[in-house]
Amino acid sequence: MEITMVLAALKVVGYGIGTLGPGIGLGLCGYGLCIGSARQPEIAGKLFTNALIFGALAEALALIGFVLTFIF
Amino acid sequence: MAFELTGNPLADIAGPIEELSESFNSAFVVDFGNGFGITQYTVWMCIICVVVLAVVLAGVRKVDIAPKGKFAGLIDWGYDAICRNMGEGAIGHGYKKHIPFLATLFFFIFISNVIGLIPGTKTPTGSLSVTWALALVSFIYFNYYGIKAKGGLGYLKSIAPSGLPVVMVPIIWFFEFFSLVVRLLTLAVRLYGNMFAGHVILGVFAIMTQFFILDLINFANPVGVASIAWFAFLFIMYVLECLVAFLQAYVFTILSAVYVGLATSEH
Repeated sequence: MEITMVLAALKVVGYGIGTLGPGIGLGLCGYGLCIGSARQPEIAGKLFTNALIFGALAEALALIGFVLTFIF
Repeated sequence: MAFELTGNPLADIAGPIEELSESFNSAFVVDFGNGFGITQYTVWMCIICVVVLAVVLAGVRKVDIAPKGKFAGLIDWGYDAICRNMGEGAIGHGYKKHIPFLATLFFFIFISNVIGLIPGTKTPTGSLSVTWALALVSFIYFNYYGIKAKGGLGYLKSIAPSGLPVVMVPIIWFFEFFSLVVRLLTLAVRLYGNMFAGHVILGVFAIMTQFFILDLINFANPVGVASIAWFAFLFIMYVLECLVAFLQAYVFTILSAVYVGLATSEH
C-alpha cells in the first residue's frame, strides 16, 4: 500500500480518537444542563447560556483536531 | 455514464467519490489570471446576499404597512427571537445596539445554509474562506466592543476572571487568552465542518443509491435492492441536515452574542 494512503488513514483514525474526549465533555455538558434546568426551571435560560460557553470550549478540542488533519 | 460498471457497487464507487470531492473544490468560474477569479462559492454568496436583502426587506415592509401576513410574521418572529433569546439572554444590559449585527449574521448564515440544501446549489458556508471571514468579523466586533467598554488595558486584565489568588492570575490569564484567540478558529471551523461534512455525506449516500440501483437494472444483481436502504439513509440525513442548517446558524449567532456579552460585561 502507498505510504500516503496509510498516512491519510492514520489521520482519520487519529481524529476519531481525538473526538472521544470532546464527545464525553459535550455529553456531560448536556447532562448538567438537563439536570440543572429540571431542578430549577426558573434559571434554565442562564444555564443554557453557560452550557453553550462550556460546550464551545469542549468542542474546541475536537475542532482543533479537525484542523490538524488538514495541516499535517 | 462515464464510469465502467463492474457489477460490484462497492468497487465502482472510487471514481465518483473523486468527482464528488472535486465538486467541492472552489474552482474558478471566471478566471482573471494571477490566482484571482470568481469561484462558484462567490457566485452563490452574491445570490444569497440578494436573497437575504429581498426576504428581509419584503418582510419589514409588510410589517410596516398592513396587519402581518404569514411571511412578514415569520420574519418578525425570527427577529423577535433574536432580540429575546440572544440579545436579552446572552448579552444582557445594553443589548439593543448589538441586535442588527446578530440579526444580519443569523439571517445570512441561515439562508445560505438552507439554500445550500437545494440540490444543484452550493452553500457558501461550506467553504472555509467564507466562514473565516464571518468568524473574523465576529472576532473583531466583540474585541472592539470589549476595548470600547473597558479600555485597552482594562480589557486585557478582564480576560482573567476576578477574585483569583494573585499567584494563579498569570496562569489562568494565559489559558483564558488562548481560549479567546481560539474562538476565531472554532467559530470558523464549526460552521465549515458541519456544512461541508453534511454535504459530503449526502453526496456519498446519493452516489451509493445510484450505483446499487444501476447494478439491479444492468446486471440483475439482487444486492441492488439495498439501494432502498441507501435512499432511506439519504432521506434521514437530509432531514437531519435541515435541522443542522438551522442549528449551526443559531449556534454561530448565539456564541457571537455570548462573546460580546463576556467582553462587555462589568465583571
